[in-house]
Amino acid sequence: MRNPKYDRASHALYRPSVLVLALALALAAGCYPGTVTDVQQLDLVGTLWDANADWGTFQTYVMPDTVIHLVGEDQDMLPVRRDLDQDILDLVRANIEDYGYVLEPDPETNPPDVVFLVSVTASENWYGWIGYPWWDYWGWWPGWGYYPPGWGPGWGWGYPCCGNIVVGGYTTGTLFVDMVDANNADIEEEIVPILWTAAMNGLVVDATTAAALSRLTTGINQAFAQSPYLEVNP
Amino acid sequence: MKTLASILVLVLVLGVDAYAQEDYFFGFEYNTVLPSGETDDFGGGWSWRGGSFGGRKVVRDNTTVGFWVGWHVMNDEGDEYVGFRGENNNLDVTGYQFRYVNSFPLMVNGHWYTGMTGDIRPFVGLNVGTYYIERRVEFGMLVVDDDSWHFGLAPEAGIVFPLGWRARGLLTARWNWAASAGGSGDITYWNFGIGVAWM
Repeated sequence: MRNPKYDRASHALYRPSVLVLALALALAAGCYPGTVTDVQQLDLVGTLWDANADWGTFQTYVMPDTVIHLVGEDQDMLPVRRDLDQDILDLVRANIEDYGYVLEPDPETNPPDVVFLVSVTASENWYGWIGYPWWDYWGWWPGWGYYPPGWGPGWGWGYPCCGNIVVGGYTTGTLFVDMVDANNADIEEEIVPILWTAAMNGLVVDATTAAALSRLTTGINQAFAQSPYLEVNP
Repeated sequence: MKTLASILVLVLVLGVDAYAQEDYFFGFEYNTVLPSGETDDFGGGWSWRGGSFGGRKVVRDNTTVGFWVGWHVMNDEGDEYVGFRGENNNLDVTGYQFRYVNSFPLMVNGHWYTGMTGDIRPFVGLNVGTYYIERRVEFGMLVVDDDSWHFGLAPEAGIVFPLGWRARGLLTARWNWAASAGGSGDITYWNFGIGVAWM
């Protein structure tokens, strides 16, 4: 009867350096095999929101009537069309009010529950959802006076970000809508919390007005459609 | 990723060292991967990207104990909605996305064989250990990356057959189960391997 054991080894057959090299090459090449083949594959509508906010209880809002252009640090401002600003603001406002929010008629006496801000990137790269010089972009708006004690240049936005989310540079023409919880600013940390933020990549750069409006409408509507928790008293 | 590569290299070097001893065999496999269950929804269909390495020590005529380490890639893409839920923040994204699962099993095992040395020998086995799993979604410029360690099991069946001299051929099938951990649910997939082993 033959010995069922395996044969014994008599000498090494491996060359570790070759194997290590092969492993290293395989690791480098194979982890993420996907490839972008069409620029429209870079389109996205992302909404980031505070998981612990008391959703449903916010009822009144206010929104500055300006679309701010954001420029990354040490970058040149690139031209981004302004002729669609009113359409953008109207689309955002329509979606806000569809969810039941009411434009506060007397904000100086009754500070609105939330402030919606609309901005567009006007440089090659913008790292969204991380924070930016608040005062430089939004300090001009007199509506912040509704919320004592008043905020200064050192204050910043508090995005509900980011954990395991890595935010890359957004391209020119990316539209952001932020929902600010202005009544609950952290005075010690000088942070104004943002409850909800939407990013729509590269929407404001299409050559034709019709195409840009179509993409804006789709993108803004989608941002709100995928955020049903925004609804007032659902 | 670098840590895993280092572990693979370490195991490889130790394995070669141990090879000089008696009654061992070591083998490499090329693996194809087939996600199952919810992993199929995330990671898509067949993947041709995978490999593994193992060593076994003969402890009885028909029994070996050993280790198994591997690297299995699953990926899919499409224009879809996906949501991520966290303790303090949530993210919802609609857009074209590339989804990846990179799974690295690091396991000890036992195998039971039928037949005789020199013949074709069917076997069954059980791998027990951990999986280091990276789940990653890329949407344009936005990347969501979730890495976690999972306890796991991988029942296995296969055939070892002689190729000549001290070389053996290997055909294997394993069902991999990585228990839910780190915010990720169970991750399950099959891998089918063809490989070569040396005695």
